[in-house]
Amino acid sequence: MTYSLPNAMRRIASRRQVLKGAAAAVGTLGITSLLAACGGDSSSDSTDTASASTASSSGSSGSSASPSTGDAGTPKKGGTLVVGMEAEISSFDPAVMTGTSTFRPVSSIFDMLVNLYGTESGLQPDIAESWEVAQDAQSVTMKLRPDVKFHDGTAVDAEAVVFSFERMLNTNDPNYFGPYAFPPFFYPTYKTSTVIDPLNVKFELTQPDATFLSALAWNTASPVSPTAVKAAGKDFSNKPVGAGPFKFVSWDKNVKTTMERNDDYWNGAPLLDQIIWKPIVEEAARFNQLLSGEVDFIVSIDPQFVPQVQASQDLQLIQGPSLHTWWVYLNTHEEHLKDKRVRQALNYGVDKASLIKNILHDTAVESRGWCWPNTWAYEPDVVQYPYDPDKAKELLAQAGFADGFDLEYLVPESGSGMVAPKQIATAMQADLKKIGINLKITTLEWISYLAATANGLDSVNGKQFGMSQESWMNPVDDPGLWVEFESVSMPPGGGNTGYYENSEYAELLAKARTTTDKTQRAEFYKQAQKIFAEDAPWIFMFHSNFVTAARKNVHGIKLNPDQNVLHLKDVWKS
Amino acid sequence: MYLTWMLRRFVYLILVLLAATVVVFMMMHLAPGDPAQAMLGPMARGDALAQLRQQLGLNDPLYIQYLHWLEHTLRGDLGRSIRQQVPVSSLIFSQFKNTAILGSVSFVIAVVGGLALGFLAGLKRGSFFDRIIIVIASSGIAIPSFFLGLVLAYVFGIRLHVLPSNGMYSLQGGGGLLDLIKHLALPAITLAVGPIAVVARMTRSSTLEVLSQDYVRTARAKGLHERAVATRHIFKNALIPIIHLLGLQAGILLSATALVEVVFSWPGIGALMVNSILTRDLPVTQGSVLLIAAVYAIVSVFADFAHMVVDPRVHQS
Repeated sequence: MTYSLPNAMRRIASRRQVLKGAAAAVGTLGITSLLAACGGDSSSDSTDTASASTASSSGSSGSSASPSTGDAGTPKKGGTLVVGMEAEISSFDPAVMTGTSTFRPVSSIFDMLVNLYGTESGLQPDIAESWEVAQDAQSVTMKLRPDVKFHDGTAVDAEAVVFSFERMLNTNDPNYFGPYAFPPFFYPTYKTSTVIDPLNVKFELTQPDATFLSALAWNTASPVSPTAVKAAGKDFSNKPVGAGPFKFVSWDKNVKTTMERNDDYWNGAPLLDQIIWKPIVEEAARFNQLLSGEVDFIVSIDPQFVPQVQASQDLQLIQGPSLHTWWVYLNTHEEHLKDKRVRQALNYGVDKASLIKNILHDTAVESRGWCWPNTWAYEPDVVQYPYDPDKAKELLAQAGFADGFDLEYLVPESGSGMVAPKQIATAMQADLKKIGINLKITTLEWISYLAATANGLDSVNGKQFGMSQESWMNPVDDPGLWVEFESVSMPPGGGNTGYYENSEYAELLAKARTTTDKTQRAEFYKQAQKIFAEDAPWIFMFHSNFVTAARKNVHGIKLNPDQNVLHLKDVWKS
Repeated sequence: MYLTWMLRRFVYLILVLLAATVVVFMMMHLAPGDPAQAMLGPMARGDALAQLRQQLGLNDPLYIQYLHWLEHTLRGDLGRSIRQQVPVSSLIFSQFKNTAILGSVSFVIAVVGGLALGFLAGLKRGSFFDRIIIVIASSGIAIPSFFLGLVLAYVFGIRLHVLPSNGMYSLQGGGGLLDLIKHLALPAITLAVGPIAVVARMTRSSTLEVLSQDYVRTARAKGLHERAVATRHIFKNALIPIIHLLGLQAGILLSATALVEVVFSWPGIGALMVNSILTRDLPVTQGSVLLIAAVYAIVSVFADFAHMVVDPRVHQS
């Protein structure tokens, strides 16, 4: 029996092989996601994603959010909304939690300081009414909304905010129960926070950082009730108390989480009596539960199910633009890709429009760089790469590679935000074949993929790769740290996996980081985008929409570009 | 005699468990990527990764990490989940209870079904019924459980809408025994089909072997009623080799639950373990493996013991 364990592991491995056969056999069941579940679905465990979130108009802005469900009839109070999630909640403690599938339910219990609402550009007030970034970008002062209370009656004041940050980021704090993954990761420049008066709080930073403010839109920064944390200690995750529109009722792990309406919510009581969150990891099973009516709303839907939703009498597809970017790194050290013309040729050689239509079923828009269309830092006037195989061949010939070449392409099997990675890689392979480039695809399980690419593409398990795939879902429409990380910071430690170097570009981004004037910052980002598009260190692919589906009797769902937060306050069922 | 045997088996069991945890520990560390990477995702900065690794103790030499884990485990502390920051024991025991419910129901279905089918097929050797059983048994062994699960879920859950295909209880208004049985039906049957087939085949051949024994002929010659011959003489003796097989099947069933649990969203330890492997949550993986291996090993000890009691020849040898 000594082999009981390896044997068990082997069974899992061998079943994956059979699974693939089975997937082919039962196409209609759409089991690809089961493969993903076995092969490394980690949507639960990283910070980006390609699924969706919704938002009601809320906050003092009262903004009307973009795509929404048909608000047929008068909103009705009562009822229970059952939401199907792609993974179980990792924790209800904002300090501990990781993963988008966790952020969403947590956002119903915990209100944040600042938030994103609807189509309004930039940060909107939530618990913080207003804020000011100091001229030197080394501190942020926030004014809180008066008379906001946590579910246990504790006041949401400056003291509570300081408490919430200190317990996450100050390892000497008596209420620090770390180590935590996200707090030091999102707020690396946090130094301390202090109470100015009950409604004013000041964050001090170790160095100038204009991005600190926007990082507050991660709900890791949600204020927690000090009373509840002190009482529960490490067990706070099982007894979460926040200031959001819904109150925590119970958490039956891996089965369901129940929340109820907070009648005392500062922005008016929600309509629903209850929300039940149900983890359904398997993609097809989640969709099937929606079909059968066991769940009302799924916030993550694989593009392959889109046609079925559209054809159904009982379902509605709700999608809208999001802050997601999907790209392919080009290794600028690779002998062919050193030449800018070759990188441009690759951009001309991929038929993105067809890929978006046929694989993604129109759930994405083409991208021209890293910035999201119609946001404040976006520059539309850059070099563009429409599908043009002739032009691609011409550029390759100019670079001296008229006969084409082989190129190694590293692809994750699945992973958060990685929308259909293998199908897209295969489609790209077919496209690039036409211009003489022979893509050799290697796939890796998600966490292995992260580990393999962490040191850059020159040495992935001892081999040089020419291309790899990546995606990112930003919490705010501020490219900030993300873009610097992915296109300037060299590996290991940085995400510039393809070793792109351009000092002018890097300087623009660095300036943008420490500039507090938004117009000026936008200008830096816009100039950077022009250089980036011209240099083509990536294959610019697409920005995924939020794609969600609901039963037709669910109303008031409004989508937000931020996928980490779900605003369900104004949702109702008929 | 039994005592020394038990003692020896107990020492052996401990060694098996130790070996299992060492192997899993090594495998998890040989796999690329670590919990820090899994938690921080693609935008993990080098300094943040390094800091988290340091805090999680991932920089210590492997044997230190293992010994650290072992020391705590011996003191009854399985550690905390890296991802969820809750005690591992609170996760694995509640999940294991659900797996035990699913596993034991499947096991009963498999034993009763397999014995009955195999015994009848053996008694009626060569008949149409026998052939049908052989065909069913062969396909039962050949069909992978997750595939069968998806087909059953699709047919009965989605198309016909007669049985729930997901979860353990209804989300609203559920919770009773009837609700549990309804939710159990599909996953339990899915899980039982393989073992039923194996047990049926084994029972059949064992029955055939016993049928040709002298004592059966003698029993018949004594003028015993055929039913008495079948139950008292044939069935009882045919059972001997099967008892050991049942122990083995129980273990196999336990490992097969992982996939069936994923297909039916059954909140069991198999699904928990798979997820912990994918997120590199080492303490949870270690804890689940230890528990599963312990159950497997204990079941096999019991099977050996039962075998020994039923068949003295085993003991003598």
